[in-house]
Amino acid sequence: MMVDKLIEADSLKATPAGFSIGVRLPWYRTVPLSTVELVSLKVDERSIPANSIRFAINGGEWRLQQLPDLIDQQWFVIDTAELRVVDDRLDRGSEHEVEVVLAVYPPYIKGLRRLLRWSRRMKVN
Amino acid sequence: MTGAKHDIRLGTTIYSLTNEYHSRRYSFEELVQKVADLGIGPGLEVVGFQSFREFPNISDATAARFRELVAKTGLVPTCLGINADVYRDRRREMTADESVAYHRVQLEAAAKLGFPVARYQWLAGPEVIRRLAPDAERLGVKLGLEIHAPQHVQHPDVLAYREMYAKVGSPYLGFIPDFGASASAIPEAYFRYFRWRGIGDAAIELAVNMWNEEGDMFARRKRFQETGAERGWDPVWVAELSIVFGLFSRQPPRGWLEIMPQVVHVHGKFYGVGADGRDAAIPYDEILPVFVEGGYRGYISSEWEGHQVSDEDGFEHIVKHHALERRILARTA
Repeated sequence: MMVDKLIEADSLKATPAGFSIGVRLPWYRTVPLSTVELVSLKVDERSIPANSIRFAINGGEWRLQQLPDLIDQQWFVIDTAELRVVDDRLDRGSEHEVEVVLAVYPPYIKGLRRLLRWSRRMKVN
Repeated sequence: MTGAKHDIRLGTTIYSLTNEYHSRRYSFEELVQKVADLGIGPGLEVVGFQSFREFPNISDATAARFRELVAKTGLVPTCLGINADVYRDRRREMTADESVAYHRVQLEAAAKLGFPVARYQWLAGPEVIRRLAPDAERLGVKLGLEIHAPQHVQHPDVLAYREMYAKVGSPYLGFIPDFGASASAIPEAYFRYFRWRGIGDAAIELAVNMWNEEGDMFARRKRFQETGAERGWDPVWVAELSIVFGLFSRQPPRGWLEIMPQVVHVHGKFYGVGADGRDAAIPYDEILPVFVEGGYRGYISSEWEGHQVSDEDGFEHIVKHHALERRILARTA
């Protein structure tokens, strides 16, 4: 099953700007980034504003509202994408509950919005 | 199968092993090798967008590597799953010209990899497929429409293809029955999953009741989603439960006879073989004799889709499925 793999284990990392986490594509095949939507990201029940999140994969980094335009950027099925967050509240070594809500619109299934939510407790590396 | 009255061969689709691959426990090459080692070929089916990073393009190097793998394992490429990604841009549907071009590249990939059949999906539309018939003939790759739940042989969307096929009359246009379209029940594994997800009994019950009703499945799914919203259910629950409407429909098994001469490949969809040797959701004891009676000659890919709702070992499921198919075919022949 995919839902419990949404957040990659042990992927919460401190970065110079804040933190990042790894997310996995909850689908069986590669899809274009244009069909992926990050619905929400929470840390310890605190919503992270969309404008402080960047979606990174394939060596690129995009704002969430750019995703619908990325028709030619593939999310290869076994690759990990990174959510990079500008935030100043997570200390290295501290533990947090991270919740991701992500939707995939499989491009060959009319009207389907596969909506998944998962949370995972992780230590900041 | 010497002396048998049928020419039905078994195989596996690598899609059954999605979890083994997605979790990175096996590479694509390792999955194919293990299919050969376990004797759950010889048919080998692959989903292009799952197994090849550069898909829909296939480089010469990738094609050569795949052909070597096939030669080494002795498996037989049967079908490449291609996709009708007409909502690649989810704000607008592809034009017919774009869709023809998008499908043509995938058809060329199938030829380059050595697959005799490309599974396509109904969203392509009969007009796009009609335009691709000459490419299919040129490349020697048959285009097979997957008849997948909630559709079935008499569904208006499928009838539109049947009419087009009758007009064009090309042996390169055919059908791929998916046994999920002739299911008898929602598999128990889905209920275990829904309960594990914490979904309430009332929501599960409503989904099952609506699934059991008659009428267009897409319309029932929409009605279920509207009811869920009205009742204020968690949208994640509603989305999870909605999948049952798109995976299983209840076409009588004998319905497949209507299109049997045009069947170019088969998806042996299943969810789990129980201690009684049967799949409780897919009536193989009824379905397989229909394919023998209809004179189907070709491969059935074992397609275990229980990976959507469990982390059980896909290989073990397929081994049991092959035993089930052999038992029924031996009895029928």
